[in-house]
Amino acid sequence: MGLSVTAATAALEAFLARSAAAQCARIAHATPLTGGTLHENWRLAVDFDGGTLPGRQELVLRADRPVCLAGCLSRREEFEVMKAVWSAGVSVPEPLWVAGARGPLGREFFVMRWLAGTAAPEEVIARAADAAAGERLARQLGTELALIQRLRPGDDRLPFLAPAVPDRAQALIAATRAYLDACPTPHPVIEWGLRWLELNKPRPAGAVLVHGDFRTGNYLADGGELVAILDWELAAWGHPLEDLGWFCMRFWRLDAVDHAAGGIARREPLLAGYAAAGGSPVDREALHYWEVMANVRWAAISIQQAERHLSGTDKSLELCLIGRRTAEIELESLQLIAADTARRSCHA
Amino acid sequence: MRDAPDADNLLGTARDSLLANILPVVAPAQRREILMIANAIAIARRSLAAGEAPLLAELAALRALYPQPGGGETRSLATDAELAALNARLVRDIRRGAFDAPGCVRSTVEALLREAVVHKLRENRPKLLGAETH
Repeated sequence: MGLSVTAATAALEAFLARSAAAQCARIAHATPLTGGTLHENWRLAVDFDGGTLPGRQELVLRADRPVCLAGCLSRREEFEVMKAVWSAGVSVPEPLWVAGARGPLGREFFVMRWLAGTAAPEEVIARAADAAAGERLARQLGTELALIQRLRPGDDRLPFLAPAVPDRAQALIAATRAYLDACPTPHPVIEWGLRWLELNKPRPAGAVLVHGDFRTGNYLADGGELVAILDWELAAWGHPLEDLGWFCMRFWRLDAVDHAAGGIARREPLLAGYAAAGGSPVDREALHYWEVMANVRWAAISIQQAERHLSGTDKSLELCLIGRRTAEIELESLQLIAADTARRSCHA
Repeated sequence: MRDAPDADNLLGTARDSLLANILPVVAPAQRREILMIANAIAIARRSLAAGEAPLLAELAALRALYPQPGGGETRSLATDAELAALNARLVRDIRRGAFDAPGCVRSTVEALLREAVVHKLRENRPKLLGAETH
């Protein structure tokens, strides 16, 4: 089901002109962008006559698909998160305008600046095979995380985010169990991981803003340099190590398994960039815990993705194949847990 | 009897044709989709080839963990329901902490889980098993 961007050109042009206080706006090109199973992204080349952005502008329009996963922010909320992190100095495409479901497309969307670069993991990871380039990129990403985490609960620009909880790890464990309980089939390996997570929780920490899907594939790089962090629909108040652990998940590394930081570098430059920009000190055992958390949650999410296909709401070969990758995520979680058990018994 | 070729041969030939004849001529934007289709066929072939064996192995391991009075005979797949029931019991026990204490039972359960995952990976992504199978 396509978004009617091309069918709604006139209404969209009127919206763009009004938003930019221009006399008129003309869409010269509209190209669908690939990537993302939850949203539709269009690259627009727009000619503005006068207003705040006169001349040719390269923009991205991001709209909901008809189906959205529970737990996702709406486009309007995602837009507000991007505005807040933009003003905190985080590298994101500048968010420009947002429209509601009664707007020109009949569903929520927002418009941001288009930026050059690639988010394709294969390309980003291939470029980072040059160790110096990969380490620089990882350092930049660590810096970005520290900037994101300057946003704290109580920020009155983000009232729609679910309130921070005192024990984020336990809340995530409970949410994953609730999901598994609603699943038609039992998943003992994921339960094994959840039990370990429950028994090995590090001390809770003060909540910070987390991106929620901080990984290779969700940032734009150009010539090996970081350009922008993308896809903010899973932002939430969470634990400071949550995004770091998610970033280090083996799944994102493709074949660069020794480059724990998203397939681009070792963990150290990521953590160094994070610390240098004011991130709280990272306890390596606690980071290991959040890496286990990432794998266990991702295994449950992969089942959920396959379920979207199986239920018929969103039939997709890609979702089928994600479902069949559950086993490799489960194996990684078992190995991380076994490594921890072995380490503890050595120290006992 | 069915006409030849069998399902495995059909799927394999279809996949080879897709990769040899279609992949080189599609637009770059469609390459990923073609590779996903080829991957799906490969997984389906390996699942068909494995048949019930991995499920029966999993069932045997679960029955060893939860012995049934008078049970233990491995039949064909009336096992689906039993497998689901035993895994549901395993899930409840894991969650209530029945295997928290280090020792023989915990190790048995850990090995059982690992073996089940390895069986799935043999079908889904065997290349990951290079150094893992033992």
